[in-house]
Order: sequence, then C-alpha cells, then structure tokens
Amino acid sequence: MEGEAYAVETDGLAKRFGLVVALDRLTLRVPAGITYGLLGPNGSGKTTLIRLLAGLLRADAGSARVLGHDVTLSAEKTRHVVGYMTQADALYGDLTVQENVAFFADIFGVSDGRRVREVLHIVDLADRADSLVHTLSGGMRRRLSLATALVHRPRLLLLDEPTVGVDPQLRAAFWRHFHELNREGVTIIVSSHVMDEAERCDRLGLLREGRLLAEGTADELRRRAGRETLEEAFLAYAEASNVVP
Amino acid sequence: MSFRRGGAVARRIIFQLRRDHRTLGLIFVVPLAVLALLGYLVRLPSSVAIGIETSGSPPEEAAAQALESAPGLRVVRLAPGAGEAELQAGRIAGVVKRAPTPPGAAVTFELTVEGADPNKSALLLSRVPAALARSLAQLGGGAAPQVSVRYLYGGPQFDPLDYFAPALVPTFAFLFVFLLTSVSFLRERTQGTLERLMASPLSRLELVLGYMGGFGLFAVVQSAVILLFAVFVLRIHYVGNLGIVFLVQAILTVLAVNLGVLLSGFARNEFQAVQFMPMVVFPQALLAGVFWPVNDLPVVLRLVAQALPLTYANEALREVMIRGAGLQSATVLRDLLVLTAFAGLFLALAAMTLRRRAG
Repeated sequence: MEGEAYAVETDGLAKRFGLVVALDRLTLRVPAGITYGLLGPNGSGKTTLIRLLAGLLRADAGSARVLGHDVTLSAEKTRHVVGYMTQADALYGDLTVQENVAFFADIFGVSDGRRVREVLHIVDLADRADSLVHTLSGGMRRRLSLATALVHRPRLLLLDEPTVGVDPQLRAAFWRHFHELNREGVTIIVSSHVMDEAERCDRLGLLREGRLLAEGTADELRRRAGRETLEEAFLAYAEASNVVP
Repeated sequence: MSFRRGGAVARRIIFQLRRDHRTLGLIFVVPLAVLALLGYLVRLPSSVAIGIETSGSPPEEAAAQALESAPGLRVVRLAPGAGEAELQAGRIAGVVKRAPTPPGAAVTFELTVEGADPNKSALLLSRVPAALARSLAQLGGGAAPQVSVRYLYGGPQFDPLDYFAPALVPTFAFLFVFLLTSVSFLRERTQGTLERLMASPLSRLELVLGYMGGFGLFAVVQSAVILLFAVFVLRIHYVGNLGIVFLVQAILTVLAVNLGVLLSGFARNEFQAVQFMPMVVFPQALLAGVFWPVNDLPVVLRLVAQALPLTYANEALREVMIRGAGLQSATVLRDLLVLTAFAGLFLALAAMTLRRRAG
C-alpha cells in the first residue's frame, strides 16, 4: 500500500438519488501525499464523492479504489486508514473535548493514550481539554472535529468543507496543518466552494452536476482556460461543458 | 399585536403538518383506534368462572343451580377432586365443594378462591355464600349453611395494588427505558455522529451492543430501584423470590433498549421518535394483561397479546410475586426464554436495519 502512486482512483463512478444524478461517470486520480481540492457549487457532487470514498454510500456503477483497496469490497480495510470530517460538527456536546477525542481513539483502536493529548495540541485545544463541547465556539468545534478525524493517524483524510464558518486566522492555521500532514505522507481530499481556498491545494478537480469539468493545478486550470482567476476559469469550463453536452 | 404575523405562524404550522403524514395519522387515527379498543375491552362481558365439585347428590346439585342463577358467575361443574387443578391452571377463579361432615351435622361447603386478583376474590366472597344459603333453603334445611373460605394464593390482606404492581412495575420500567433510548439514539443521527461512526471500523452490531451495554446498565439499576420502592415503600405483598423478579425486569429493560434503538432508526427527528410512544404504549398497556387478564380476551386480541413482550413479563412477575413460582415453574421459564428471544430479535433487527438508514 505504501508504494501506491494514487491514493484515490475512481473509474466511471456513478450515483443517483431518485431522479437526481449526483455523480455522472466520474473518473479521477488523486496522487498520494498531496492536498486535492474538489471545487464546485452546492449540489455538484462533492459530498456524494466524499461519502462514497468514506464507504458510506454504494455506487450505482463504476469503481473506486482508496489506498489500493476497492471501497465496496474492502470497506473494512479502508475504514482504519481513512479520516473523515463531515460538513457539520459530528461531536457529542455533553462530553468534554478530551472525552470526544478519546472516544474516537477507542473506536479506531488507538491504544497510545498520549495520542489524544497530541492531537489536541495539534489543533490548539489542549488547554480546553476538560471543557464541555457545547460550551465551545464554532471555530473550536471545527478544530475538535478535525482532531477526531486525525486521532488514528489516517493515511487519507476526507474533509467536507472543513473551513466553513471558520475565521481567516484559523483557516490559515488549518491549511498550515494540512501541508504538514502532506509532508508526513497523508493525502488530503478537501471539498470547498470557496475559490481562494483552492489556490492552496496542490491539484484541483472542478465538479459540476456530478461531472469532472477540468482537472489540474490552479495554474494549469487558469492557463488552459485563458483566464486570470480561478473563478473565471471555472465559469469558462462550465460554459464549455454546456455547449458540448 | 399583529394578526398578520400571528397568522403567518399558524399558516406555517398548517403547511408543515400537512406534509407530515405520520403526525396527521397520530392526531386523527391513533386516538380513535385506542378509544375503540378501550371501549371494546371495557364492554367485554365479564363473568367470573366458579367451579363446583359435584357427585350428583341433592345438596350439591341444588348448590350448583343456585350458583348458576347468581349474577356475574359462570359455573363449571367438576368431578369430585378436580377443582384444585382447574384453579391452579387459572381456568376458574374459585371452587366450591362439600366438606366432609358427620352424618346428621349441618351441610358445610368449602369455597376456595384463587386469590391473585382481589377484585375477583371480593366478588366470589360476596355472591357465593349467599347463593349457597338459598340452595339450602330450597332443600328445606333449616340450619344456616356453613361456608368456610380458603385462599389458594394471597389472602384477605391482598389489595388491588398487590395484583397490579407485578404488572405495573415492568410496564413503567419498560416505557421509560424505551423512550430514553429511542430519543438518544436518534440524537446520534441528528448530530451527525452516526455518519462518523458508520465511516469508522465500528460495526453495526458493535454499536447496538454498545447501546445495550450503556443504557442497559442504567435500565437494570432503574429496575432494581422501582422494585425496591414497590416492595419496601409501597409495601406490596409478594411471596416469590425477588432475585427472579429482578432477572425478569433486567431482561425486559435490556429488551426495551434494543427496541428503542430499532424503532428510532425509522424516525427522522425527535418529534417522530416520540410518536412511537403511543404505538408501543397503548397496545401493551391495554392488552398485555395489566388490567384485563390475557386469558379473558377474545381470541384475536389474545393473539395480539402473545406478540407483545410485556405480556410475558407481566405473567412471569405475577407467577413469581403472587403465586410464589420459581425457576422450576414451566410458565416462568418459558416467559424468560420468550423475553430473551425478543431481546435478541430486536438487537439483530436493529443491527441489520442500521446501515441502510444511515446511508
């Protein structure tokens, strides 16, 4: 698994909810050890893709491999090495900060008790370890959410809009930390609909209506579209996809 | 004060409820169904079965006829010596037999009441001696008849609480545990942690077993507290082994935890979870033998009662607390097995249906 060139590979991945097509034959390669941004408006299929990779949904067609394992066939294997931070803070409000992290540590079989303190230091919540979660500010909860997704040292981190409602200072701290994780070999897939965040990703996939409009580094995407900003580039790709359905 | 703003709130609520078919059903259908069932049960013809052992002798036949003409009694004629077994089987509430007396002495009857249900005992004690007196008068016997009374279980000190407590204690424990578990498992879904757990190595069975362990602990402690309160504060009479009573209670409350987890999966919010309460509460309160003995129900309702877990807990606790049965009793053993099977079934169903609903 260590030698996999791609942390995530999908081929013709399709998922629909009733009449709504959430993913339309999506083929994607995410190289290992980078931060990959899924960029697109609401309803473009970002969350569906992340939930599929997390093993929460079953694809209607196509396949997805995470760290070398098929997510449908070997979900048990991938769950140990994938960290998942949901869009909403999935935390227990009536437990303390430390108890929340310790719970997820137990669930993932982390036996080293020091690891809980360690992740609390990483997200700068060590001094609030004994605070009840419902007394925390929104930003602190986002940090704690990240801590619970990190505690088992995942090799792939799926972050669904991790910086929504987070102030610029904390957002910068999050991104510094994501790049540190990349240096340790962790692959990060982060969804966002904020274009300026996209600049911080190593590579980007532009999603719209469940399809991959374009893929590459931010510079490549701008250059190929012949536009100044990513936002303009995105609109250009969207327009082009409308012309040729 | 603006009627427009208040009206906007009212309109919004009407729109919301109109789309929530389950709530509409609760508002309009459930009360009618419950009322119909309750009315039906209250109007069930109630007669108390009384056995009379008769060998065909004139005093015994006269007594049987006098009992048959008494209101509220259903007379079952039995061969001499057969009464006790019928009484123990619960098919009759009391039995009359002629007591052996020396020749020439006044005719004496012995009335044995089953005793578990004080209301039935009271009815028999008021009507049977009067009817027997009439029978002897018909025979021309001048002397007043002697009627001696014996209780198979309980005794004159038994009051209605002694009869209802063995059914009310498990009913309360069951309902509180069920409500607590179903709402708190639902919170796991609404706060998003269920999604996180489903993406972790935690299996569905591990999750449900964890709930059973965590809530089960409080449920079992609650059972013990309710039981001790009933016995030592309310001073209900009991004869059986409290350990067995506690065992039945413990299994029942763990069953309630599993049922709470199972049903909460079919609710999208706390509102809908609370709506399961009447659906679980009313049938069990009315049909599980708390107020109307299951054996007295018409056959269709008896079949429904047999599908309700509380029926078995109530039966077992009455067997133990009033009749003094132990683990060697086939009824108690069967009830324990059925309750355990229900608990296992709800656990398995909760685990099986979880993933689909989380996705």
